Amino acid sequence: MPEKSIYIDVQQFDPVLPDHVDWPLYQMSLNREQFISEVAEATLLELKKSKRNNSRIRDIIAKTYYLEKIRMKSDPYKIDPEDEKPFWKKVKSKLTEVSIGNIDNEDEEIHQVLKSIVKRYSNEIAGNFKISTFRFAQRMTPLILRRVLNSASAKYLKKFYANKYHLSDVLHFTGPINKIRSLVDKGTLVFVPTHFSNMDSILVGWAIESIGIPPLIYGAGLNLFNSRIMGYYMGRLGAYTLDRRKKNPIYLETLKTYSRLSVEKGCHYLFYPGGTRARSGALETRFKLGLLGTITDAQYENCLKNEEAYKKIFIVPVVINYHFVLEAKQLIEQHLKKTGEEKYLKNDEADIKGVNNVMSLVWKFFSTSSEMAISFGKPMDIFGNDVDEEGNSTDKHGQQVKIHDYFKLNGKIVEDQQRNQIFTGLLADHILKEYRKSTIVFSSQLLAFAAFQIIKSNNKRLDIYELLRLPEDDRTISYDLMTNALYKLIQHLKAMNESGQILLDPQIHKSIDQLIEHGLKNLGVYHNVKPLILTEENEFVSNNMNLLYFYHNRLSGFGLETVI
Amino acid sequence: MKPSSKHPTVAVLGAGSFGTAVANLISDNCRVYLYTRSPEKKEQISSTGFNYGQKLNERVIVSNDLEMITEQCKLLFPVIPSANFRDFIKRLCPLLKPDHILIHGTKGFDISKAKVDTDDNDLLLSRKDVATMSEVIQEETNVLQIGALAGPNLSSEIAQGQPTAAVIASPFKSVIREGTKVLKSRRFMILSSHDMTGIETAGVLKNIMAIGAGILHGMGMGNNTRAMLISRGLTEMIRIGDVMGSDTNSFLGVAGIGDLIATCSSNLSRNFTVGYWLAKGKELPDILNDMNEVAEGIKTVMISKALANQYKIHIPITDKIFQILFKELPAAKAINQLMDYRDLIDADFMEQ
Repeated sequence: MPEKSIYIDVQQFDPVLPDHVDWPLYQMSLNREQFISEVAEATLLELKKSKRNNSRIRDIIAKTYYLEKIRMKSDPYKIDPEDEKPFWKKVKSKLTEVSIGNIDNEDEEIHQVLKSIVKRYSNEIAGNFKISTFRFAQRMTPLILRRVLNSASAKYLKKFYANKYHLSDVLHFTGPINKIRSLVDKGTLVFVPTHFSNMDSILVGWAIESIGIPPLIYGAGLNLFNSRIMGYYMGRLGAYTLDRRKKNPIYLETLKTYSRLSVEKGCHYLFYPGGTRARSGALETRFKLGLLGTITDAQYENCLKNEEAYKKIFIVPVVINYHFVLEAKQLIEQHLKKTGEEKYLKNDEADIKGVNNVMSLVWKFFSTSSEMAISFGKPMDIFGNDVDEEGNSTDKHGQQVKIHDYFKLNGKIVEDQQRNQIFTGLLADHILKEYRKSTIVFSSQLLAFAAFQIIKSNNKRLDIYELLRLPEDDRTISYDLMTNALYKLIQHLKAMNESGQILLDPQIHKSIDQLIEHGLKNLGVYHNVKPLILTEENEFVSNNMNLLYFYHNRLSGFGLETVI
Repeated sequence: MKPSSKHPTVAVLGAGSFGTAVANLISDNCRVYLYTRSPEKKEQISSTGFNYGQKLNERVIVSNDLEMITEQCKLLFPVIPSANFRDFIKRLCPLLKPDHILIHGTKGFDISKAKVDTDDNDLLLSRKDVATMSEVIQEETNVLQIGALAGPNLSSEIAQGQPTAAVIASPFKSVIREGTKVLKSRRFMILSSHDMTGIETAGVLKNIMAIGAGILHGMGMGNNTRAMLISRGLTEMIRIGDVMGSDTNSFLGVAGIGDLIATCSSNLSRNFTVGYWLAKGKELPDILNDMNEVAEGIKTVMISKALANQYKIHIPITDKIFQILFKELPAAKAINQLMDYRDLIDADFMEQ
């Protein structure tokens, strides 16, 4: 069978905008202070709009103070600023003064307290893009990654200075890259990737840079800033901080406003609509709509500002396809604990140590020389319509659509938060659909899927938690049974591929024996205890059902369960 | 909508009996277009001032110019039989913009993407084969602001000016608001719901029970039997609704049990008439030949049966009506078989 490659050589892509003066992020960084003030002002406006009167504002300040007090005590970070305790103490004393009526101008006082909190949060969130740091990283990253790849894999090859691998050997790209590039100067690009590993940000960031897209802003968890070097670089490369410990209403509103205003100003943007890493290993099936909602709101504001020549936002779904995820053990453990509660009994294995340090993740990842692929989805407007290379939206019948019409009622653009929320939900559905279409089936995932489904169908009466505790004999699959299942799956996947429902790695087109060999080599290559092995008796045995389940999940939800 | 507008800004698309009733209701608040495709029908309605026995209010303007209507009106009420709904929406699509609001009043499912044959003993349909009318609009057009209108709305009683109520369901508050503005009056109460699928599904499924009620009436059965049909039928509707993704509460409101009682109590409805004549021993093709308009319930029985087969849901009444319609099961035998059931739990949907 001929091998069909879906991958594109990215070395052909030059930067779309070579001069940094043309980059929206650079322009915004020139007026950083002003932007922070704008964020603070707009946040205050939003909070006042939604909460109406001052007693409600006082309530949300009190709630914020309460939640911050708990956070500072129960979950402190190394990088938390030293002045935060005195700051909140001051907030508390102001609140007390107001509540006992000791203040003449109560409304003004409450406003000032709110303003100080919002300003503090705006400053904390704001990134600090530096062109010099960016240029440095731009030059060095490919070199470093390549060196890491060759040095790390050389451990196996016993040739430390070998230069056998080029990045393009292990990192593949596919998707309508030329169209995405053409949209750079037609509007604002918002990349929304799937999220499986802490390594995603580095790889996606680098991938987007490799296809010539100017730097973008992205939210990075504050925990990543705990490493001083990472923190230093990330802030200067466009990252803004996202503190997941802070769930208080004022912080969340400030964060949303920062996100919305950055997009309104035309900064290309990257964020994970799923929020955190997919614990189960499966493709996301729902999103948190908070940040995604800021994109809808930004498009609305742009249309409102200039009805005829509004800035357009283009959504680009990105699917990251790995053979293995370094944190898989931890992730699936967390998932099973959460979903199974008392039904899930942890294995007796030693406690699982987390791999959270991003650099160590990169090193470990490359040490396996395992391939990965970044699949860019079809760019769309925020209503899920296709866009052409000029950025024009077309509906499913190929008719051009003026997207400001979506915000109109009786001929006029009108504000309607509830309508925008529903639009956001619909956008989420469009992105999720595109994720499925842009998923690349890897040999290892297919093998894991087939193995787990066979074991499951041999033990129909067991629930998932009982399945994970099966004795070895029941975790064994004959070679014939496996090839039979794989054959059916491959036929089905090829039909899905032809109708544009999924993508296939070239390995899937090879013979089943070759596919098995490739899949076994790559499935959970990093893990000490393999999810699946082939014994000398030519039988497959799973030595780690949790991991097998994790990698199997990557292909769940595609309707493949009924194929075997 | 401004009542003082020179030309209407609202239109009802489809001049069947319910479309005409809706146009008359809207005319209580503002001028409205009533669209009919056929120039002859337009001429006939305009010259007589009557349609389906209903007198048209003078603020209802009959037109067959779809382009002009969609240009002038942003609020549209398609009320087209479900069998033609998709074709009509496809024809409408090039004229629509994303700022149009579509609130449909069609009670039926669309299965144009699937193939079904009632002779097939293993009749199967999955959820994705069955589209509600709002889903048809979503699939075919670029309009997102969609709503559904449903309730106990027998056209003839509306025409007499008797008070009744309906639900406008939509995920969008704006759609409910705009629809309510033009429809609400002292004789027409409007309630709201965000469960569009539930409201649509309830409105469609009740037609099955209307056929059943017609059968019972034709057999000379009284109110006890009808009440049994309504209450047990509701349970089956909720089960099918569940497969469609509906909220049970929608079946307990005006567009659910309200519409179900109205349709099963009235010998005016088309589905009721089909059941009545079946019980009287008339053949289905002959009954259909004698009717002016479509009885949606017949197709709904078949779709529900196929969904039940696929998802293994227990719907004995629908199953018997299916057999009476398509498998020549005598109605009396069907009732005997139904009465043989044991160990039934009352209102089990409340325990879900």
